Amino acid sequence: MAETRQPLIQIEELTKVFYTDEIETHALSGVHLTISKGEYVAMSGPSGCGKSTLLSIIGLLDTPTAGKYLLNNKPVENLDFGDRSRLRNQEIGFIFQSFNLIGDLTVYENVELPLTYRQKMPSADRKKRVMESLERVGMAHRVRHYPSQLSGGQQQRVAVARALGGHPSILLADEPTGNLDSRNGEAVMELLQNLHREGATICMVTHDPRFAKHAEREVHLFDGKVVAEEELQKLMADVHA
Amino acid sequence: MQEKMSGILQDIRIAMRGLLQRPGFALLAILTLAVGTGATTLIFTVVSGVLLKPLGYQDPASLVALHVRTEKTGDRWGFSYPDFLDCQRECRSFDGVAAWTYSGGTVSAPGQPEYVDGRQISSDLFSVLHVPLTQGRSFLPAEDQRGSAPVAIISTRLWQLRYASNPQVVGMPLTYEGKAYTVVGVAPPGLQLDGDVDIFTPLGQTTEPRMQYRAAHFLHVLARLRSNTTLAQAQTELALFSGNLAKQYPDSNAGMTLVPHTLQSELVQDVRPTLWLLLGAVSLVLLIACVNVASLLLTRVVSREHEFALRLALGASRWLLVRQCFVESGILGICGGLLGLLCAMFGTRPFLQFWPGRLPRAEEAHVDWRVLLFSLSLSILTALIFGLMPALRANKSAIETALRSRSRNIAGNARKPLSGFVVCQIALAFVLLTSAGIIGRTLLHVSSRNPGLDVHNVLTARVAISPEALSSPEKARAAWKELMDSLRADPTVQSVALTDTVPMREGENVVNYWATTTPPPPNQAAESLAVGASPDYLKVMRIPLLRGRFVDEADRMDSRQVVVIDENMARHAFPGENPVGKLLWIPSMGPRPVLVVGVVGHVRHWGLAGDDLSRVQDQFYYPLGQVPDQLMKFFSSIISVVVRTNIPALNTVDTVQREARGAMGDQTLYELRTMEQLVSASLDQQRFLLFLFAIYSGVALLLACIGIYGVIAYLTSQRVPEIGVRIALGASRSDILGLVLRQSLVIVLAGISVGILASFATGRILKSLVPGVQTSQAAIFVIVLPLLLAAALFASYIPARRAARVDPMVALRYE
Ligand SMILES: Nc1ncnc2c1ncn2[C@@H]1O[C@H](COP(=O)(O)OP(=O)(O)O)[C@@H](O)[C@H]1O
Ligand SMILES: [Mg+2]
Repeated sequence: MAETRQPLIQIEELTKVFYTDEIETHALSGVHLTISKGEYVAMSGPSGCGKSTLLSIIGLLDTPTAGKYLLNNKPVENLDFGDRSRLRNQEIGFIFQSFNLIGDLTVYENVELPLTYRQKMPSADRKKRVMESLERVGMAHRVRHYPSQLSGGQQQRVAVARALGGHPSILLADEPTGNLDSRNGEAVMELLQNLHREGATICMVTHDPRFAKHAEREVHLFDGKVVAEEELQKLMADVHA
Repeated sequence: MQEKMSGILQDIRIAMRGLLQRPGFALLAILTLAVGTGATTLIFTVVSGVLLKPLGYQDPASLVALHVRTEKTGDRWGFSYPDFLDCQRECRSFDGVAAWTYSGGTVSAPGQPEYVDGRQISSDLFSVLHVPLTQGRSFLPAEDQRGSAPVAIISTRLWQLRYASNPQVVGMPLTYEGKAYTVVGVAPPGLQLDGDVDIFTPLGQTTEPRMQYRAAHFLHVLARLRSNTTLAQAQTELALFSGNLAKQYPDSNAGMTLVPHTLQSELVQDVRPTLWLLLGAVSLVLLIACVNVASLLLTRVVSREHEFALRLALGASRWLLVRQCFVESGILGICGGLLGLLCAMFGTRPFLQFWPGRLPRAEEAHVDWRVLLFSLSLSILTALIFGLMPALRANKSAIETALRSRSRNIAGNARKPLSGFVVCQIALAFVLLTSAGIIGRTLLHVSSRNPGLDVHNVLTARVAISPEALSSPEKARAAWKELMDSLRADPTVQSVALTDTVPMREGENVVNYWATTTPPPPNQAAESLAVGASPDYLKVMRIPLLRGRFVDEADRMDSRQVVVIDENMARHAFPGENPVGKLLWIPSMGPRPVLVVGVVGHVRHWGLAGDDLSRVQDQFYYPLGQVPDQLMKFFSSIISVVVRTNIPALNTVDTVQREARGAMGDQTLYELRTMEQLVSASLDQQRFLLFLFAIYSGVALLLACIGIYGVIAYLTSQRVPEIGVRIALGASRSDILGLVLRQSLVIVLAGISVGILASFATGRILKSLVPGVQTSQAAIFVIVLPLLLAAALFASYIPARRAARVDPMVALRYE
């Protein structure tokens, strides 16, 4: 079945080097990765191995130092800031570890926010989309609340609704349960699984093996490279030895 | 106690270290405060010297000036000599009553001829003022009588200049106005009676006819209150006394009341509103400066929240934190205040140079204990004002932060007080800008007004005629004719005329008139400016002749008395009729009616702006040729010469001065002014205010922009995570730019709204203080609004652009 799916994200020989105070940090060194439409990928690896960096490049927040990146068969590695903003707004839905809801805005306004950055979207359409996505995460009854009036789990559900509202091609989640207790964490995982069942493409960073099992496929990162599971075990063993 | 002191010393040390660590911040704060306190202290120095400091005389509070009040004319200083004598004799409220009037003339020996300002004074003037003479004695009552020997008191300046500071000057001769005087005393330096005075002569020796008339109001009267008499008691007595006078002399005194004013209030009444206005305006600048420093400090405190929380956790009391904030603002306040005081010390003299016209008591304006006290309290007050907000904030936020685990939501929480500051600043800057605009527009408006004459190429000058000419009326008339002839002979001179009143220059004669055979009730008669002129006056001034003729050579002593009236007087006296050929009764010109022979255009005599507001709107001209012989000597002291030239008038000053020497070479012109200078000087007050308000509002605008910049930069720095999230969600650069600019626009518009309301009030204040101001401000808002908006948005554009460059990665990296 996976073979019939169309590729959404194709990454080849991707490297990312950070230069700070004359120190070079090779955050990614030659990553190959393909994510197909409708796939649910979990990305794991030890802290500092480059997960967030890879996710931010996939999410067009950052540009690679070298390598190829095709999104929907279009090369996107060299787009300028404005084009990346627009693509990000249309194709990518972000879910952050720390929710990143804006405290001054109500639940409704937070979910509406990405849609307001789209050119010419009638407010009636916006309203429909916002209510739709809030219903999908079960938060439609809290539209007038402010983030500070919600629990952590509820806040993350609103953040998921915000990511869904734009009907993105892919949902990117960077440790979405990192700031939640296990019960609320489970609930968010369940929500993502339901979304996947309904056809959403998801790429989630997690270092919790229990949650990684929710995904269809697990990608292991080590020291800026994608490695096979067995290799990872071996490498980890070497490190501990 | 000692512990407390060492605690405060510790606080000072910490605050100093903190300030030195951020020298840019400290410097900006101190300079801002120095600008505010400096400007305020400077104006206060002037206010203190001119308005607040007691007069230099002994016991100034008991010195009063007596005024004449009628229903029609209000309060005026002019007393008649008979009224003065009666008052001096009968009023029990006073220890002494003295009078003086203006005079002046040529001192020709010893030394070179020179025109000097003089005063005719009653014998007890110096004793009423309690001013001792540095040499000799003041006039004796017997010398203050017609026919007694001519005596004079001279100024210290004349004594030094003409008698080489000879200690035996008393009894030495002096030639003044061609007459031999004996010096009996020397006045102390710095003594002023509405200006510097070089020579005092006894008032009672004057033979001028006006000394006899109760209707001739030309004397300043001063009195010394008896030791336990109040101003109110004196007022009651004077009211009773004037009632008696009115019964006795209804023709001249009906409806007239004498009222006492403290001398100080009389001296400075003209400049008082202007000074308070300036102090008010400059306080607004200071307030803006305070607000600026407050917001600077506040952003600092907010960024130190964690430090404060930590201190609280370590057991510091809230009071200690508040105290530390105040110590810091106190240091800034005192440094700024000291710098401001220096500015005031060195700036006051140059500032006074700009003052239009004569500022009474200007020499009193210098930094003294009063100013020091003011400046010190100002520094402490400003420190309290701008330290208060941060202190309150430190207190509140510290507890909050301490009690709250680190919150995860992204929100600004110092926005409200900070935005409030900016709203105030914008409002204050708006008020100052519109005030400058109002004054500027007034100036523009009134300077384009038609003065009523052609001001180009006209030179005017007062004349100190040869003392020889004063010996007889015939000689005087001949001397004036000779002066005109010799000036006419100059090729650069087109025409020459004589007049006793030059437009827009001090010195004018207002008289009563009526156009009916029966006189109106006393003090109800209409008033007009009376101008004596020679036939060519109209030609020199190019005032339009509307009907009939102007005075001409045929109007002489032996011909019918005639006048030429201006269009206003024609309208008032003869509405809807042709005035030429009509009769007018003008008591000051004699009991018989005079014939109106012509109508001319109105001249803005009281200044381009002031003329519309003048009580006296009517003007008439009478021929100098019909001045009676016995007045010829008096007139010779007030006649000016006006000259129309072929080339720019200023270039003819030297030749005209030379031509005017006279046959004996003892004649001189003084106060040479072109008509253009006089017109321009009539707007000096407005120009001066515009100059100051332009500076104030420029400084205010600059400070407000710095304030906006600081606050918006701070607010956006607090919003960096939020902005990162927005960019991650797809906001473009222009979305973020718009977000920040909208935030500042809301604040700026709020400030402008407050400013608009406030500027209606200030517009009304300006109207009451500055002649010619109109209150309609729409046109000014049209200029000020975009200016302020543009400046404010420019100031917020810099932080906004920085915000638009936020790296969206902060959204991922944030915790
Ligand atoms: N902006 C940056 N500048 C310099 N080094 C960075 C930056 N972002 C990440 N890094 C470095 O790149 C490496 C990968 O970081 P990251 O992708 O955040 O790891 P992970 O998310 O897997 O914990 C780390 O060594 C990190 O220190
Ligand atoms: Mg990470």
